[in-house]
Amino acid sequence: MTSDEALDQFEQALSADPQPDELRDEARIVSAMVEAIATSPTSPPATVLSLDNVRQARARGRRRVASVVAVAALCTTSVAAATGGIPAPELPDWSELIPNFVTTESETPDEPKPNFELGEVDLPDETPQVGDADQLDPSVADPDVPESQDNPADGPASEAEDRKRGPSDDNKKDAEDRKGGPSDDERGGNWKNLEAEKEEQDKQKPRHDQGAGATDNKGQKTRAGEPGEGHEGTKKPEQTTKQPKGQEPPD
Amino acid sequence: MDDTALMAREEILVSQETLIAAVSGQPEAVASLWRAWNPPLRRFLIARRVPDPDDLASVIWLDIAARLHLFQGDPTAFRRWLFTVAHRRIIDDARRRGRQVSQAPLESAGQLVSAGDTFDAVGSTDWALSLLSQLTENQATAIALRILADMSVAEVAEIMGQSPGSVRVITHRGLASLRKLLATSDDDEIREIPKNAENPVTLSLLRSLTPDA
Repeated sequence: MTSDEALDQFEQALSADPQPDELRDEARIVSAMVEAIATSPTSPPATVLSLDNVRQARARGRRRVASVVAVAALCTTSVAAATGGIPAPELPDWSELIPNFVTTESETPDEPKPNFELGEVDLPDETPQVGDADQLDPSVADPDVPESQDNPADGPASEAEDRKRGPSDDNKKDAEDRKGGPSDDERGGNWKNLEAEKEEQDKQKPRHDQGAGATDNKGQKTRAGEPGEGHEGTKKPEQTTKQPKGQEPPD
Repeated sequence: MDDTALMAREEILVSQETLIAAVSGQPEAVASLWRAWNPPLRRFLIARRVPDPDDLASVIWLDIAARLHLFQGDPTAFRRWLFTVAHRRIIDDARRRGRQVSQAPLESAGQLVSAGDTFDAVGSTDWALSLLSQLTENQATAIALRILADMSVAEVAEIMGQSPGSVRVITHRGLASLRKLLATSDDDEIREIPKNAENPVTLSLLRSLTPDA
């Protein structure tokens, strides 16, 4: 047999008819394929509109998924009803679904709760010691403490009242600090600095009777730095050197 | 083999009506599709030295089924799509196996049946696959796609991501390696052509691929 004939035999063997072991899994794979074809998402909006998905997601505790699907279903339903594309299905009782909507507030972790495990409780400084039975006994009233200690008018009784009253002074200051604004002291200091800077700038500015472009009273330009005729200009105060106090002049 | 003959074979394997029925999910049509193309697919996986060709073939068919509703085309396009998915799945599988350190040593088809191993195996499909698996990966892919999937050079080049000229060179070198492998085997053992080898594929198909043919 020549090499060409051997190669021909190889080719025919490679492309031979199917053998039994190559078709043994037909029933299993074909059934799986048919199922996969049947469950393929042919129309995604119909899947989104399925309210059963929402309820199933809720039942599984997947609140975020339930919310997203519910919102998508509501929007799609509204749009479809408005455009007349598809008949709007009967809307469910959304109050049944809305309470479980996940908001950003509910996603934030809760306030750190006090840890009541032994050894991690922040005890107050005036912890009653053993033997201070009168402090532990609520029936023993302290004569110095007025009985109206629990009067709601004295202290915040609820969070609503807290909100009514507004932030405390400390909170106001904190809020200003967060804004980045200066405090009262800083503000005063800044004003002082601004005034000093302004004075410095005024000194550096050319006076109107000096410098390039200055004119005399006859309408003629003068040279830079030369006062015009008929105009005395602004006299600078004479600089006087003060003797430092507490020091006598040298002999 | 010219295009007319290729189309005729395509019609024998899967007709357009069968393909349309399979896309709509009719079980009989899906079974026909699977019976027509699972054997070539499985052989292609073996030629590419996939450790578990049956398992990967199942994955490929399920992948095809999941997107079959999006398919539009004739049986030729379906064949091209099937082997394109298979080629990519083989690459994914190789990468996944490469990440698994504790994977057992691979058992290639060449280890299962070596060339001229036993007299009964000579001339069988396993014998041919064992020869094919001894080629380089590119050579085995090009020859397997050309013979098993009835693909043209341009189609093979598209799947392999190479130019048609490169595919011709790769195929030519693969055929040269096959000749050497066949020459080393005992000529007396290659005597009979198996009875099931009735496919009208001739040596001219392979020779037509090579530049010096």
